[in-house]
Amino acid sequence: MLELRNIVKDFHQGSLIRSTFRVLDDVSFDLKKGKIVGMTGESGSGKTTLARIALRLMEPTSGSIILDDLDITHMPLRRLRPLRNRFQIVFQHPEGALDPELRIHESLREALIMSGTPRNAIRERMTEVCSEVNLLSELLDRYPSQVSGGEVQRAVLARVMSFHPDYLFLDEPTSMLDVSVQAFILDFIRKRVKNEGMGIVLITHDVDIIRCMCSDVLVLSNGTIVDRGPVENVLNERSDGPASKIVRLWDSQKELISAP
Amino acid sequence: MARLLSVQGLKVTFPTAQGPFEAVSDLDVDLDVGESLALMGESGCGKSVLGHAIMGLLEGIADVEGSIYFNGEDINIMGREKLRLLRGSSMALVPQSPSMAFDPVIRIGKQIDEMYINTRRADRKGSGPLSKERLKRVGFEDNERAYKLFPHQMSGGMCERALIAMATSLSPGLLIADEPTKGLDTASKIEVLKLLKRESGNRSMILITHDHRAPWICDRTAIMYAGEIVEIGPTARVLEGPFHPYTQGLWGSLPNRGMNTIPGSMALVRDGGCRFRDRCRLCSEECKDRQILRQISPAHFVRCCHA
Repeated sequence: MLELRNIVKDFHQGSLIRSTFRVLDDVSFDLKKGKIVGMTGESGSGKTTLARIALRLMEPTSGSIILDDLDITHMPLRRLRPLRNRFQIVFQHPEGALDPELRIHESLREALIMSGTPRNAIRERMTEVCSEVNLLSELLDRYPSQVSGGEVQRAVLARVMSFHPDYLFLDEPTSMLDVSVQAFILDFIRKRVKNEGMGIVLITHDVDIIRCMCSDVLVLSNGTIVDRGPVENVLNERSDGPASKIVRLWDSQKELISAP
Repeated sequence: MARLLSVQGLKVTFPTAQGPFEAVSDLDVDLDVGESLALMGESGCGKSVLGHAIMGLLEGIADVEGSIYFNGEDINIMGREKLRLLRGSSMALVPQSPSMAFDPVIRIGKQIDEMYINTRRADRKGSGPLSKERLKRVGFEDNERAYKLFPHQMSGGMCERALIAMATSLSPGLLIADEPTKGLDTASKIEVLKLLKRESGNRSMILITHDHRAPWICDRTAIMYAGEIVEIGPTARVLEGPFHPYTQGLWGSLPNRGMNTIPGSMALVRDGGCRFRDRCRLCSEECKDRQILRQISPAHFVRCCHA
């Protein structure tokens, strides 16, 4: 289980006149293996910051991060590095996720080596992971800038999955992609969760994706979790909980934009 | 109604290391004055390329064949200077990635001012009030403050609206918006779409999008696949009663419609027959023949022999 306990994060702005802005205020939640938890909330509600803190890519102002009973909040990076394979993240903008100077197969090879694949099995494993994400082998020789956004995102997923992480944060993994590529990627994620039992936090604005993929959902607003629980209760148009505004807006999009 | 844009037999070929790549093939599409058209299809199908070709932005990048008549004049054979005068004042593009489209070190207002100054519609002093008026129109209540912001001080939705303010500043007859709602949260997305609907009230618009709800602000919707339009018709028909197996597959892959993936990936081999046939459940011997857009109901055309 990956636990976040009472996470607080302040951002400091300005160099002459310092002002403090609280991005996350006392956020706690547990991520269990084998579950896909949805996370939603308006832009600026703190979703990405929370994911970055959970991954130790950013220091929290206070609070703790516990990875399978091990407190990693202040663990030095040297000791953290061997644990990195166990918790991973996929960002919204796939273009920035791969080293632009490495060909796609080099990025994948690096991940396979780091995750302990024997050298003589690398070629075989790479063919396997690529066919899983439907990445054509002729693309492997290209640089990330030479393939489409959907293809980069598939390469990023192939890389992340080759670590066999226990916990995975997906930050708007498909918001830049078209619906057919989105369906493929989400379906792939669902299969991997079923087969390997990893725990996933899926961050998205798309209420339909959460309804279709997740068992539970967290709703963030202004840096706090304002609603949480099973998807069918929280994201129910008949409920009048804190998430109802988001749900009603989502469900009436067509009417709102068609209105004169 | 008068015809504003008529694309005839458009073919766009990019030179690549693997040889020429045809991004758009024999494409015909018309747009009347005041009409709006949504363009959808998976990445790499040629939607953005079509938008760039209409704007005349592919010179030196790709080989463009065919004709693009804008107000009766073919922009493919138009002189560079004449085309430059057309851009901005008669047709304008809202590019993808709004945060990258602005100059990061110049205030938003000053960048909109330049539209007026460069076309001699106003001088440095006179352009300020015009830009502020535009910013107010796209929903910045405090337009004095918005005028002074730098691009990095704006959220994605604000950037998109400022970009629309800039694109519509010279009242172009045609607005091309390339994925204007990408990456926005629900509230900002609705705001941007309502703004585009309002701005397209008295002008023509081409809306390139991945969002399956966005076409509802347009009169017609076209679905592209591998460089061709495979289905085009009134938005309600294409969204709610699609005929082409690809359009049906696209809607079936939505999370609220079962999220069924379309098997395979977009064809790289093009032999003159239906380009979707290797992924199609209806594929038969006739699909190897050249497919044309056939009319199946008023204004609704489908490129499939099974329609």
